[in-house]
Formats: sequence, structure tokens, C-alpha cells
Amino acid sequence: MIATVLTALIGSGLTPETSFRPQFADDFPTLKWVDATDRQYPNLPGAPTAILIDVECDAAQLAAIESSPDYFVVSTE
Amino acid sequence: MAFVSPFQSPFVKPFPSEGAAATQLFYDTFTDADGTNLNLHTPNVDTVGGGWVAYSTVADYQIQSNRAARVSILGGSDSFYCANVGEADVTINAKIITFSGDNSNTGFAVRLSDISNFWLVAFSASADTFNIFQRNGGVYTLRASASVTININTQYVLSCVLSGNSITATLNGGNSISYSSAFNNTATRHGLALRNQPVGLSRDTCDDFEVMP
Repeated sequence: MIATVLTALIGSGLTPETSFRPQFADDFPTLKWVDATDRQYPNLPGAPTAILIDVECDAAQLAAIESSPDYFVVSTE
Repeated sequence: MAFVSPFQSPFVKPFPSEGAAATQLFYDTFTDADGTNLNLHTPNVDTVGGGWVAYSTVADYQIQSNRAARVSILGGSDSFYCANVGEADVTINAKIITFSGDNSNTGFAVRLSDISNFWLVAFSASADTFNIFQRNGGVYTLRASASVTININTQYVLSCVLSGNSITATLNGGNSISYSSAFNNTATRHGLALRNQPVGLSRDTCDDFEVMP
């Protein structure tokens, strides 16, 4: 299933290894995800600190995401 | 029957174009004397002309053992070699070996307009991830990622299909990741991003780089 997840935005953008990225990428490195926003974060008004991503996961993995206080699952399909 | 190169592992798909050189926009087997700077080397096929161009402060990619190799890190992490193939919608294939020298992502720089604006399609042996990065105005953003086991000093076939706003990449024919964006979707320069810091003879290297329409 695909879960749309709200996650904190981290990184400096200076190198690929320190790129702007979702906190989720560091906490769940084995899950496949894609940015759902296509926004250039430093240029957005208000300097956003959270973004939406679409995550490929199964039911058990979704439960693990939902159980974390760091993430909010917006929808699943 | 499809032609399969004798040096490829049986589980690695041959390039779709092998045996069809006439359709290649750009192709390089990196056959040249050791130590030849990549920007002074003549590719096998270069339909636009101009060869490899360094997007770096120094020329730190050379031919070594008939492969393209990153031989120093003098150009820093932002050292890329690209060719203008005249088309933005292309399929790019190459055989890449990484050794995870400083835990860097290595792979392709595609749809490059200048050193500050392009897409980086790359994998990391230290993180075991396969990634699509956007570099926009000098700022890197990770747009898509998947988990994949990468073994150092092992050759992987990296493929990237660019079509309209779509960027799709595969590793050894699997582990597909994709992203959609209009950013730089008319840029026609594509090439190598061998980013790990060399240690002695341990280097990120590439062979059989090709660009197909």
C-alpha cells in the first residue's frame, strides 16, 4: 500500500549526503518513498520544517510508522 | 537471441542496445592509455561532438584500465563529467563499480545545465540506498529513495530513463525508483558522478557508458 506521511524536513542541502530530506529517510532507511511535494524547500515562504512523502509499505510497517510520535499518516491507499 | 557480453554476470541484463551502436547518441568504452584525462579522451560514439566536459574545479577523472575512474578528490564532491547529446529524453546505461571510500553516492548526473542545476541518480554502498537527488541553485534535495544492498568492488548496471517530466532509474534491471518534475527537463547534458574519494587504487569506476534516444 501507499501511505502519505507527514515528516520533519532535515538537512543542509550542501551535498547529496547532507541534502534536504525527510527525517523518515533516516529513521526508516529500508522503506521506499518519494517526495509528494516537488517543492524547493529553502525558497518556500515560512521556511517549512515538514513535508509530505508517499511511502510503500505493508500493514506491519504502516503500524510501525503510525506508532511513532514523529510521523502523521495523512492517508493510505 | 539477445547478445550477452561474456564479462557480465548472468543475472545482469545486457544493455538493450548492445549490438546496435548505430542508434547510440553517445557511447564510450573508455579504451585509452592509463592516465588520459577524460576530457581529452575521444568517445566511441559522440553524435553531437565535444566529448566529455568537466564540471569541476579540476580535471580529476581519468582512464584507468580502460575504465573511467575518479583518481583524486581535488574537485571536491561536486566533480562531474558530462556530454552534450542534444536530447533531454534519453536512456542512459553504464556499468559502475563503487567502493564507498568516503560514504558518497555515486552514479549519473543527468539533465545538467550547469554545475549547480541537474539531477543526480546514484547509489550508496555505505547507506545501501538507491536515490534520486535534485540539485537546484546549488542546493541538493533528496526526492526519492529505496533500500538496496550494494556490495563494494562489484559491478552494477545503472540505467536511467528520462522522458518528459519523468525520471526512472534501475539497478541491474530491478530496484526501480522514479520521480516526476519539470525541473531542467530540456537540459541535454548527461554524464558521470563518481563521487567517492579514491584511496590508493580503490576508486569509483565506470565502463560502457551509453546514451540512447
